[in-house]
Amino acid sequence: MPFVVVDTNVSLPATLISTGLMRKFWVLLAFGAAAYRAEHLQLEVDGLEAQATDVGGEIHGRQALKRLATQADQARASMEELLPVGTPSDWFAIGGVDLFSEYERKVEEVAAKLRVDPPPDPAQARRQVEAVCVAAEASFDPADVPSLTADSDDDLIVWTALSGGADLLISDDKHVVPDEAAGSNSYAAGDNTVVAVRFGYLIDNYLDEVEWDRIDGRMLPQLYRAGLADR
Amino acid sequence: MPQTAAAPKLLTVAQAASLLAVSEKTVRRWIDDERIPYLRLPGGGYRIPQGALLASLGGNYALGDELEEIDARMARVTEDEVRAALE
Repeated sequence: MPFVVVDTNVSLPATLISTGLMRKFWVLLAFGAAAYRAEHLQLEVDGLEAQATDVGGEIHGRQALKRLATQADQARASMEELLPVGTPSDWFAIGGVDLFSEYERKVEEVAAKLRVDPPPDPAQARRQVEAVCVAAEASFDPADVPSLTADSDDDLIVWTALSGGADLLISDDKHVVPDEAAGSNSYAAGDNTVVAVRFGYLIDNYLDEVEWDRIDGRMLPQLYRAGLADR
Repeated sequence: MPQTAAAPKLLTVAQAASLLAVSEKTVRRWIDDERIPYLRLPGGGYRIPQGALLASLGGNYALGDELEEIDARMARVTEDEVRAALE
């Protein structure tokens, strides 16, 4: 049951290009998000009630919570039917405000560089990342982020993974995983540790039993709609 | 595990708006319409469970249509070209 943080050098190709291996991996994360929500959203009522008992207050939107859990279960069931038997449903993405913002900025940069006209809407693209995340970190004060990599710009993604309690950080950045041949690198801060892995290493060593050739990344829009069938 | 459902991360309206890069007005509209679950505090403030907020994106936006639009606009670009543009 790995919790993962996905760097923008993987999340951008995954969300922007429907035919690549990274999009197939994104389908896996969408499947994980649906399964996680189907199981955990109902429990959030208990959590909210405990909070209400502690601090007072009144819970609203129980119906909304129930509807979200039902939608997640429908999405999970639809994906289970369409994905090859044995496709794991326990890969969960963690995001963060800073990571989402960096992603959005890079969507604009990449579209301009590749002269895509009309370009994809950065806000729409950002939502594709937010939607597969089951949890997210708040924005960090740069002064609070320790030096973790050879490039201070990359410290934030490692810190997001460490703070979020992720098991894996998936990144093809040479500063995050400097040894391309090794394919992985560990980071630690306080009690938290995270293993950063290159995307290829992830596929070869963690997800080698997935039948990738039977997963079509172009099905993802259809899978999103499946969860909303009785909206 | 980053957080437990039994002790969900609760966000203020401002934090929820910041997380999703939407206006506080948008979050308040979702609250008014009960499109998201929330805790109303005795002092009148709101607390929104983060997991449910992220999950609600699927209901508050047409994610499938939006992704299809992105895919159509990026149809002539390959994964390798995007990766190269990021370097």
